[in-house]
Amino acid sequence: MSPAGVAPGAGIWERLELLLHREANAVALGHRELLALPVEERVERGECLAGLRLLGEEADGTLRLECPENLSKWRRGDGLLLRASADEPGVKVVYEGFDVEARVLRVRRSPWGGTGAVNREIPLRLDPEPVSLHEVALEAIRALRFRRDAAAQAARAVLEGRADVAIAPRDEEYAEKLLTARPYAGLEDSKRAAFVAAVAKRPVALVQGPPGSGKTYLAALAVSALARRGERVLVTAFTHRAVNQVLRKLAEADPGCDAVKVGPPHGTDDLEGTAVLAVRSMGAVPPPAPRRPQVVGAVVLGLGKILGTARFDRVVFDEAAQVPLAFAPCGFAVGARFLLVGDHRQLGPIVQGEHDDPLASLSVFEYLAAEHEPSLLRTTWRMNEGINAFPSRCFYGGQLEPHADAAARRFPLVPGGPFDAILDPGLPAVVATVHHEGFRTRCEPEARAVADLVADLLIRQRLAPGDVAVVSPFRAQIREIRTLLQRALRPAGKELPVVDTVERIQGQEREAVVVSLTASDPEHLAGEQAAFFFSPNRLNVTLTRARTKLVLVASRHLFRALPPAFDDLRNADLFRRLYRELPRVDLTSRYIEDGDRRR
Amino acid sequence: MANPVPETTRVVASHLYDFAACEHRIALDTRLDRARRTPPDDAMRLLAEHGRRFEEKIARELGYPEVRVEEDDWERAARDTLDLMRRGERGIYQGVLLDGRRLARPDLLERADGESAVGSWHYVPGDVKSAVEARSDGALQVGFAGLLLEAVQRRHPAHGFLILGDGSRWWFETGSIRRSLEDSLERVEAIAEGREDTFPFFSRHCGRCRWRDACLPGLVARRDASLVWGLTRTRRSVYARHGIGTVDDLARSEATALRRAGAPTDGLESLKRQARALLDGKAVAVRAVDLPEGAPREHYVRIETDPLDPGDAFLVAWGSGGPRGGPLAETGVALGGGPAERVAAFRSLAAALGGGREPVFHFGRQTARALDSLGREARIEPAVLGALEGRLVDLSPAVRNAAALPVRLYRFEEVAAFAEARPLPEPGEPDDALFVTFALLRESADPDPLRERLSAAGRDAVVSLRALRRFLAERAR
Repeated sequence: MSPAGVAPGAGIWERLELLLHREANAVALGHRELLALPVEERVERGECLAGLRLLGEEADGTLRLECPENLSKWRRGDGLLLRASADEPGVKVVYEGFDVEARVLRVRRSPWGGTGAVNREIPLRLDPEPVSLHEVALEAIRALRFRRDAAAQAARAVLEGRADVAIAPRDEEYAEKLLTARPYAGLEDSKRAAFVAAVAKRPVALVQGPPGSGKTYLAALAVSALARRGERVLVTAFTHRAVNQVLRKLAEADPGCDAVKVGPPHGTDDLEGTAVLAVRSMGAVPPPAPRRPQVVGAVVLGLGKILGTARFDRVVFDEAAQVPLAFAPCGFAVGARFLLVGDHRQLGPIVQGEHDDPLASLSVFEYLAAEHEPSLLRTTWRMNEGINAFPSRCFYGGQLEPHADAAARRFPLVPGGPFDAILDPGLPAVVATVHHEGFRTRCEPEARAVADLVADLLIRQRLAPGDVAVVSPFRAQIREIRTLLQRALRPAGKELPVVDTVERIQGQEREAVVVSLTASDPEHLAGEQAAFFFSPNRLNVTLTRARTKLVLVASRHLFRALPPAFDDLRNADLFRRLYRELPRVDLTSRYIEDGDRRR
Repeated sequence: MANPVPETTRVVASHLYDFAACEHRIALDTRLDRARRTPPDDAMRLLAEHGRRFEEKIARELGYPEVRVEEDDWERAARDTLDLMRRGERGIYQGVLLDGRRLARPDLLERADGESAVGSWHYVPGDVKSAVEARSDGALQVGFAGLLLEAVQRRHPAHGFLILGDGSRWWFETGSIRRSLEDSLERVEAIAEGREDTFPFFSRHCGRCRWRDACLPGLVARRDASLVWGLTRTRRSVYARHGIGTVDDLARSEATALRRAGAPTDGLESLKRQARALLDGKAVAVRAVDLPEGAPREHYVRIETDPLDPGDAFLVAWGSGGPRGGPLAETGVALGGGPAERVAAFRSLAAALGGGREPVFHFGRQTARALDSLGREARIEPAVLGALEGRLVDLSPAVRNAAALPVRLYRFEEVAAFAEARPLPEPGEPDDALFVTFALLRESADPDPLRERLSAAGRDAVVSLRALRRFLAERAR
């Protein structure tokens, strides 16, 4: 049985259609509601940037904008509108990146609608571009439901929960033979088992890759093995970045296999200098070279033009836990067998609009994992033993273990400083308490504690900015910490580390991570914030970015929240458990005046 | 508190329910004479009766032996319960569990495999709830029973359950909320035993609280800061240490001084505006809000649902009119009750709204959820239902973005009354009067006056939505 309220069956299609229609309207509606909010609030929510000034434009259409502060949620490739006010249609651009030190934001003119002058003289702003690709998903559902070919029937069976999954003996034999030779040899046990399952299970196989377990590498090896067996393989994901990562890893691991990425320029420019060929459309994919296997990559919503036939023998979904179930039919409609690689214990799909149907926020990976047990990659190369322990127990049934090299790593403490107790290498994961009370989204005493600790990491402990990350759930707190850090680090000539929400660093790792949980108003947390703040997926990602030192800065009052919805209460209980189980070092007396402390 | 805590004070499962709603209730319950409690009104009697009848129905169907408590002899009842457990009864209704000063009386104890001190089996706790959704307070109460079961049978039950209003069984792992339960219980006991002080605090739970007459008059008379929407108990407590205890204090407070003193100021400006609005009885403008403009017609929808079942709509009201204000051109009301009535109500509504892109204004998620539930029950095509839902514009966040109103809870009744310059409901006045009327309708020998009352309420609601829309339009850019 799938997650609560989502039983597979033929009725899944009507539910998906309703969801997509509703989502399409929610995108338009959400966008309208978003624009009904004042600019300041949209900036605060990370959904707008204001007060920008054009610095210049490069020959390739990249615009450089002076940007005092970037709290936006946007990622590279997001479509935006650059304009002076909401009354203008604006110039369509694509988000490229932000230089924190120089305070320069880079966007590139979109190939569609990116023309037009940009005024240098007046303040500009960036708003999200309303985009709805639900028509593609709806068409995919129609294609899958009504096609009669064997591939479509197999795909329907998988999504309706009727598929009989079995290991094909000859494929199993093939996979095991491959494991004796490069580049497939030398895998640890769980990776070997997952590799065999990925190649040999039909019609669907799932591989779950916890943080630091190398799932993208495993996906690349599986893709190579399938392509070398003569299968036509498609690699797909929700984002260009995810597809490109697999193709790059494939090109490195198996140079004898040709990889072709299909997509617009902003979806392929991080492939420059690699062996991956970039083309604009499926029609432009060259035929495979003689005796060279070929793998094609394209994002899920870029498959719209080929939904009518099963062009591929195998479709490999990477980051499948970030592919909303409602969009998965796009990939299922073009293949006959499927491999999904992901981790539903980390961040899931982003959904706009509010939906009561649990299907709305479900990823295809999580949906199928309830029916077909994934092969779990059990070794992490990232976290040491102390940091790995809690997430392994809570999210992976105790089955995730650090590789011996990772397990033994310790934080390289330079002793004699004010935070030695917190940075003790013998305490890889620790809670640093600052018992403030009543704060919601911004807490100055806690921000000071975080800034002092991070300054110590960069100055006394001599970590590079790239070795440290600071994470907080709230943008207001992020701003507070950045301001304090700039003041502390500038005199020492140090650059800022990443200070952002955890979404920005999913997939990344650092030597040390400091988390500012910020909130100490339990009734406020138990309200509308509860589902967001206490999300176990967000907690898991937060706890698993650090290699040797994880510091959670928090007040005990946070852990008193009692959300009224059971799921939120259960998730809040995980936080209580974390607070009880991790060692604690109290910093309250350094950051809170006597008069403001309670029992 | 004036009275000492009696030594016989027990901590019971309902204290956990109270703790989640208002911790001060526990102090009142354990230290004041319960005869001072406000008698239940019609709605509370109806809800209690509805709950009791549902529970008895389930108990009859299960056929478990019942444990009775004679003359307040709880120890005897606990012994009787233990006897039934040792006998290996399949289930026990209203069993009593005692452990020191803790007392639990879960609706159901059911036998499960696995050895314990009572035999080669053990028992798991469950409760019957007339709501259709499982909530934390219900799970905490069952979890509490689980703790006492552990003391009695020397085995902690790994699971507990709720039987919900639709008859379904909802299971949960008791361990998944254990720490929350233990922390809550520690505080409940501290309050019950007088080791921790509490204070009265105005919230939406006051409307149904049996102690409201002990708290509310005082809160209103001294213009307690808790009357300000958005102020939480924790923030109230922190601000009190900095000399802010009343609405007036909050309105006059200075962010700089508070920040220097180390007090939280995030969200303070919003609280201050709210306090000023309450003091002056007038809206305090926040900002202009944009709402959809330019459509030849606008529609308004209000759907009332069973408080225990958000999918069960009993009143569907709608109206439409031109964009420039003025009276509504058309209104309609349909009453639900059963599936056929609800489907008919939805179809009438859908016909009135038409198939265009004109906005449909409503207030609060309740209407949106109910519309979705009705549409699926009526088996409307996904494309049609999705398009209809896409037209919904919720005025509730728009109101809060536009202005701080002199209301306490931002419920529809209060906001509508303000927009129409009518007297506001009294603090603590419950908001389920319509549901009570509907419940009475079902049992009345003369339903017509009640029907008319409901229909009139529905028409009034859409008129109120129109007034609210005008109020917001006046503040638009």
